[in-house]
This record gives sequence, structure tokens and C-alpha cells, in this order.
Amino acid sequence: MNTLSKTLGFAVTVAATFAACAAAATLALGSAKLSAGSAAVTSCGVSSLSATRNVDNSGNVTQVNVGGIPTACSGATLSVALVNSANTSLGSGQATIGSCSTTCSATITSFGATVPAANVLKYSFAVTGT
Amino acid sequence: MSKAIKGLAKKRTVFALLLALTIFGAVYGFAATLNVGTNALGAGNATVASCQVTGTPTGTYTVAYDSTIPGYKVATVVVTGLDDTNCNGKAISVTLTGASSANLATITGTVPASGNLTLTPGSSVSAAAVTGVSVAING
Repeated sequence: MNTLSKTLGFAVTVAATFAACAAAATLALGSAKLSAGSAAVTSCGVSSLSATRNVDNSGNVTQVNVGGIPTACSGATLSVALVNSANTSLGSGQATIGSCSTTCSATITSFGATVPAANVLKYSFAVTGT
Repeated sequence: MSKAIKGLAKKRTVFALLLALTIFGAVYGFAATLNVGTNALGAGNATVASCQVTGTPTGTYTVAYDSTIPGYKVATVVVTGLDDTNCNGKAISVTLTGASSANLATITGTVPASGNLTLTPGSSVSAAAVTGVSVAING
């Protein structure tokens, strides 16, 4: 009887300990959905461009001609801003760069405002698309 | 003498049962507070699924002249190719990166029910400085 009591007591102790430890080790884990990725934003090869302008008899810019555009830019959109000495845009326009074999060119004829040629200090450009 | 032995045996039985209950209570109490203790540690594995089942999110850009650069800035980022059916209403983050993967701007939004998502950077980001884009859809 004495041995039985000791054995029973020990068995209950061990069972209780393992049962509690097993409960502690149980961990439910879930996860919400997550999607992520990165991509390079590449250039079609434009680092610098040169442009010429046409001026009417009033001294206003009527047209800007941009040449020497890499063929990889074919189909992209060229944006050009006419900028004064204070880095303010006097007018800007866009043109689609057409298909070409060696180098491409684009002509912009609308700038959203009348731009006096004398006030234009520089051109600023960007090529987007494709 | 026999009575004394029997009494001692009963006391031992009671002591053993009390000891068992005490240990069980202590360990069970410890287990119940495991998740909030500072030293608590739980581990497991779960699959991180993606709502983007079809299509490839692609960043496209519009530009606008900014005299503070001076030059062209990224006016908007238009994300095309979103899986609107499965990702509708999910939070989306778009980060424009530059040289050395520097974070130039992070824009957040919500995937629309249909069509593309147009995001506007909160700061002026020079278009010439952008060399990469990262997109994450959460939820």
C-alpha cells in the first residue's frame, strides 16, 4: 500500500509536469499575405541631348528640335522645358519619339505659353516610357 | 505500532498528492504567462502567400519640371499589372530608389478594384536620380 501510494504520487507529478510543458510548447502561427519585388529603372541611353529652336518675327520660340536621341528611346515620350536664368520653366511640351534607324529626333511645337527666346537660358528634358 | 505505520503511510500519500498538485499548478501558471513575459519565445513556421496571382506590377512614370531641382521630377508613379481581383483593398507601398539603393521616396496607397493605381510622391524626386523601384502589397 505504501509503495503503491508513492508510485501513484510520482506518476501524477510526472504526468502533470509533462502535460503543462506540452501546453506551453504549443504555438499557433499564421501569416497574412505579402507580395514584394523590385525592378531596375533603366534609361534608354539618354544622358545629354542637344536642341535647336526656331523663333518667329516677334522673338518667340515656335519650335524646339531635339536630335541625337538613341534608337533605344524610340516610342518613348520626350518632355522638354524651356528654362530661364532663375530655373523657372517658361513653357514645356512633349513629343513622342518616332521609330528611327541610327539616331532619333523629335520636334516640339507647343509649350503651353508664349516663350520669348531671349529669356530662355537652357533646356531641361526627360524621357519616359517603353 | 501497526496503526502508527498506517498513519504514516496515509500522510505520505496525502503529501505526494499535495506535491503533485503544487508542481502542476506552478508549471501550468508559468505556461499561461509565457506569451507575455519578456523572455518568452515562441517559434513556428507559416506560409506567406501572395495575393498577386496573375500579372506583374509595373511602375510607369509621369514627369513634371521642378525649379527646385532644377530639372524634371517624378510627378506620378502609375502601377500597372496589379491583380485587382485578388489584391483589391490591400495596402501597397512603392519605393523609388537611387544610387546605392537609397530610398528616394516611399508612397503608399490601396490596390483599386479595377484598373491602374496612380500615386504621387510626397516629396520632389529628381527623375534623373531614380534607378529602381520596389513594390510591396501587404494583406
